[in-house]
Amino acid sequence: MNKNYKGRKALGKAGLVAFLIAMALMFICPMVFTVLSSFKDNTEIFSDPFALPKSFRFNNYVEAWNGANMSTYFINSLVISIATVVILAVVSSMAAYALSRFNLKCGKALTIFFLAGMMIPVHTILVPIAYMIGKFNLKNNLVALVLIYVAFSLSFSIYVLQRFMKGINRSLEEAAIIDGAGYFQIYARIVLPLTVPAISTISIFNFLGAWNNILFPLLFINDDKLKPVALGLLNFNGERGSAYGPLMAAIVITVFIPMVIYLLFQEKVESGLAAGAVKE
Amino acid sequence: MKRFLSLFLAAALCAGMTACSGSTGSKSDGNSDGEKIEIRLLTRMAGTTKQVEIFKDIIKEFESKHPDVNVIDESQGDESSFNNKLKTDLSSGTLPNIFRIQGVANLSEYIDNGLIMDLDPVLKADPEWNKFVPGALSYYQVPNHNGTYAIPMESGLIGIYYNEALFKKAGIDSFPETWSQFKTAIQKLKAINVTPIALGAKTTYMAGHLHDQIFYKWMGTGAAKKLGARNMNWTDPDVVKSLSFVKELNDMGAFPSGAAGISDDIVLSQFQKGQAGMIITGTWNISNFTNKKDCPVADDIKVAKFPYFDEKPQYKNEDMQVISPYMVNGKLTGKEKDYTIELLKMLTSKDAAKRFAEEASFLIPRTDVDIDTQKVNPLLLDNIELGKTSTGIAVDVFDFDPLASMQDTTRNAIVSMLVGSSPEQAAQQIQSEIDKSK
Repeated sequence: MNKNYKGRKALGKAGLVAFLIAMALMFICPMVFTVLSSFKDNTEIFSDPFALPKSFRFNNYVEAWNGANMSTYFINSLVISIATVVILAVVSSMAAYALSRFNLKCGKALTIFFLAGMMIPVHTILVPIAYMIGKFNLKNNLVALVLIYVAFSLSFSIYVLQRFMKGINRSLEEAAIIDGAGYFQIYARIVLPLTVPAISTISIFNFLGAWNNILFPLLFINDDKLKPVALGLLNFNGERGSAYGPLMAAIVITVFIPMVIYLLFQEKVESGLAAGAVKE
Repeated sequence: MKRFLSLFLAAALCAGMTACSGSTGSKSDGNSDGEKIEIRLLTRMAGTTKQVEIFKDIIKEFESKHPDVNVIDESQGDESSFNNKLKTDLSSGTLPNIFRIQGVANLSEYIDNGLIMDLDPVLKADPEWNKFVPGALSYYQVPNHNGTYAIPMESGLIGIYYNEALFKKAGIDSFPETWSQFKTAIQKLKAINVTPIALGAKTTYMAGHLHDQIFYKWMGTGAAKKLGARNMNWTDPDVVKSLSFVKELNDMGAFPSGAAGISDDIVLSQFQKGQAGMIITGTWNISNFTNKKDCPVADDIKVAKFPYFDEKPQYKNEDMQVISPYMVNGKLTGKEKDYTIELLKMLTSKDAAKRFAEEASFLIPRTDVDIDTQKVNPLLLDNIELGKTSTGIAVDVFDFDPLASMQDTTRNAIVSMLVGSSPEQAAQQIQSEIDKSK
């Protein structure tokens, strides 16, 4: 009986390991393909996708840097993404604090209102947004672009932070009230520091969302000085064939920064994702 | 509190930075370029190819000629990016000055709304520039509308490029002229373990182009117009028959195995390496067939017309050609209109056509192009010669359909035959899309 149980346990473990290896391969393969392809030309990429390059074409990276106008686009992407992250962190944490701590009359309605925002597909409201951008002359305006990103990520950010804040023990706040702290002080000095893991989580998602977004800049930014890096990648796409070597090199460069940021914040992201799952 | 303050300051700083960079952009249009006229272009001329380089050179030349004009090239090579941009621009009333819409019959709606300019008066006013191949120009005379609604900026026969050495090895002396000879050739190529036709239907246009060729050889280019005008149905026996020829080729094993899951780039690479006998494509790929480094079999590649059906010799020269347009925003007025027309003329002039042909194997359908035959690839010259024999030309069958969704619907239905659907089912799939819209 015991032997049988141990055997089944070992089998289960082996199955789990095999599954995890398969999953890891599934995620690693595209990355390996991208990195290998970034040193090849089109013919090599399509004739032998996973083979090592016959000769490493480092020139692809030079072409990528110049062709995708990386030096300018990179800074634009950083400014756009950081601004989006900061605005979202401030606005959504304030909203989440109010929704999770105060017994507002319209609290539930407001929560549903914010949640409903997550259910609107981007493509359904593209035309009205494009119309407004045209009407108010906001084309080539990075503030407008950042505000669009903020609007689209606000629902998710408020939802995550609200769930997290609900799980924070109120005794600290009660102590602060006894010491004479106001609501803003409680928010700024107690709730906000305790919410850092959740803020890190939403920030990483919001950063990636803003960094990778291609649709809105494609529609609303046509000034070369203001384009983000995702638009630069399109420079390698032609109607009748693309230069995949430099394109892959550009992708490697583009992915590098979000990857570093993710690795730096990985621990906090993971703890943040589980936020609110268990209540004290 | 300090922490919060620093967070708030960081937010303010970032917001300020974005505001500055945002307004910098606006200012550069508004202040220093205060008087500048903006000309926006939305074409498919993007990427890293030679033709794009020439296109950009012409824009630069125009800008240096007119310092008071700022040309913003928003062209997109990527199809979905292009479509997203065009659709949004069309529906939000921010249409560029020069743009491109695929199809002919579907232009009606835009013409009715005044979005596309009738270029007939412009053509008549400048006989020097108006030297376009009549068939290509008349392609954009939209049914039920007087006028010409686009300038053809690209043309050329979509032919079959084949590897002559492989054909000889398989015992085929000359390229098959008729459908029955074509099928024999396919069997012979299969016998020597060569993929007969390099077709990657994951990029659905490849399957679509194959059917276009068969359709025109079976029923003539006029039949596509009848389908678009609803004088014919996709479920009519002749149309179903045209679909069944695609199925027949698939059942014979004419395509690479798993063709429905392979992209055009992969099959192009197979053809370049001498692993496939034929590929259906246009002049834009000629440069890929002449560079010996990428294409070791470059010397063996020849071009021919798609074979005709033995029982339909009358459609022998009904050919598929690529014709791509430049359309002009119908709402333009004054100086902006004049400059836009001037740029359009520069992009499609005799000199531009010569440069495009000689340097990029890219054909603008003009009758007055003086091509230096020493400078161009023999394949291009052969293609031009073959194109001259066309009695009827058309691009895609769906070009004449007023339903914009027909591009995807027809191509997807044709690809479905490669994974098991019958020609009748494919025809029904397309027809029901039309019936649904009625």
